Amino acid sequence: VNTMDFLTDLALLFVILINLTMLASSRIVTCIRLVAIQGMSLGLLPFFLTEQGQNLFVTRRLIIIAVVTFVVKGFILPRMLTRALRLADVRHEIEPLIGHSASVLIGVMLLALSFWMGSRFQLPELARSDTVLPISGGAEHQPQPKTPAPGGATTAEPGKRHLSNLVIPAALSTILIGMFLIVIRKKALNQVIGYLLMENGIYIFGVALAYDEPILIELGVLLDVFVAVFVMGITIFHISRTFDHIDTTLLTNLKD
Amino acid sequence: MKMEMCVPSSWISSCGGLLAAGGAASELTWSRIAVQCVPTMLALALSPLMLGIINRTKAVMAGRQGPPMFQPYYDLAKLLGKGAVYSRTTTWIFRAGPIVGLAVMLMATLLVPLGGSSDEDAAPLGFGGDLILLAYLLGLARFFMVAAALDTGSAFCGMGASREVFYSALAEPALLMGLAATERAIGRYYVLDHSGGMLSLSEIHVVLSNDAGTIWAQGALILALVAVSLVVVLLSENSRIPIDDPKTHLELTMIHEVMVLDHGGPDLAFILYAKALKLWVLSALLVGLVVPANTGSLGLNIAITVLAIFGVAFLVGMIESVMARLRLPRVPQLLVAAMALAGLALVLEYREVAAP
Repeated sequence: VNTMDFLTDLALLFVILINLTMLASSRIVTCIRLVAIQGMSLGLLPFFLTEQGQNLFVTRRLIIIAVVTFVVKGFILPRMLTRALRLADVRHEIEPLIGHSASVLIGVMLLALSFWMGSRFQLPELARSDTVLPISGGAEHQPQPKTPAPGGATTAEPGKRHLSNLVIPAALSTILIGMFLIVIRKKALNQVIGYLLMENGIYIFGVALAYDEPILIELGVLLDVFVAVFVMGITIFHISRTFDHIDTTLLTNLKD
Repeated sequence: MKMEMCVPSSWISSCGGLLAAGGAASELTWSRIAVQCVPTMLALALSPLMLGIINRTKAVMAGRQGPPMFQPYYDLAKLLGKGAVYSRTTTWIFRAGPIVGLAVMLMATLLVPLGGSSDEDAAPLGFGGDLILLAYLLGLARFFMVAAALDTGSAFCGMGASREVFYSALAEPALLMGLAATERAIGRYYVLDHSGGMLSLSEIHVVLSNDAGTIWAQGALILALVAVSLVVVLLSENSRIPIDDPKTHLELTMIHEVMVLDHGGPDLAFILYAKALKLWVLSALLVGLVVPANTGSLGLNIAITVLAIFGVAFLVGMIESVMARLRLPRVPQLLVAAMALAGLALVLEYREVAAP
């Protein structure tokens, strides 16, 4: 096993473990920190991915994307969530619909399910099996040879994807657990975190297909989520304000 | 110890046949048996010392001088010299509990290998499936312990019994799944010579110690997950701190101590000794996974393993020094987390095998 594959597996395993921890934790601050750490490890993920022993991602554009992901997912979004948390003044998920232990167990089952589904999925073959990297969109990006010179040790078939077999299960389980979080948690902030988790899962899928995928899609996804969190943060703020107001009116009514 | 000598000779030879490396039938001489008894005798002699090490570690960490290292031995000697008092409400079950507990733990020490890097030097009674037997031996000891606690008729003991059963029900799947994942992880990289049978602790240990570098390099993530989950299981099974506090005696949150509250004298000594042996057995299991010694010399292997087991005791002492006991509602979550880690290891393992 080469180092890069090991690092990929490690990062993905880390992501999976964070998913499970998230199901177990009741404090919203912890959840936000966890999602931040997950975002950071996802930002690092592209650097570890290799294709037939070649590191794919040492192009300027992809470094920028990885750095942007790292910053947005690791710092900006959590910062915004923390702010919303402060404004809405919620600390704990008092009683989730499903208890923490039970939801961790369900999380493991979802994980097993996604491993099973991952073994059923077939990643599309590479769009092009020539020696030019498809991600090099313009002339400014020098194509890298995908296969080493003849006589090299690699005997991989052209057009066949070489990916850590953890990628798809990790992506699926992150999406499923994100959805599960949205369903079982009552606090709006926790639901936003679940949504972010789902987005992280989609991002892992994106990284898996980054070989073919135009970078614009990634940027679009990032922007999407940025706006969504922005809007949701505002919404939460307003929800809390509204409820506060209603509560106090009710209390004064009772006194009368 | 001497129990090898008592069993029928036909049984001994069948065990020997299981243990012998494929084809190389070992002469089952008395000296061979004596060598095989060394791990068990070490377990019998040194397991209370583990408790001493834990206490000393905690004392040093807290800046105290602490009790002598050999305090558990003094305690055992003192308790064995006392008489036992039995309540009139108790029956034979109450008296059977400690005896069965100790007998079962003696049995378990015969199953868990200690530093042997060839089939002949593995556990004295290792056979295919002993991994499952080990889990159920722990279960049997627990059953009698719980039955004895219920037999006293004390509501306090019953409360402890109920907690013990709940937590062990969570710890047991973690242990079994972790060991199963290890067995598979090893079977993937190493064509198992099933002379010792599948699902055998001895087989796992021997294979791992012979090829530790490769197996750990290939399956590092899986084995690390299993090791972490085993640490939690070890803490839970031995009622150590994040789960249970062995030092408290009259507190509503304790588990193990409350069950043995009515035992005294030799019975309590048996329970303490069985507890030390349990700690030894589970530590040996963990050490076999994490520090598989293979130096070529059996004596050196055993020495390294014993040192590593004391290292586990030190680790437990450190954990107890830096952590407070978890609130009771949080304990199941920790155990479920251990279960999740072991389950994840197993799922990963299956995935690795299924992949082309």
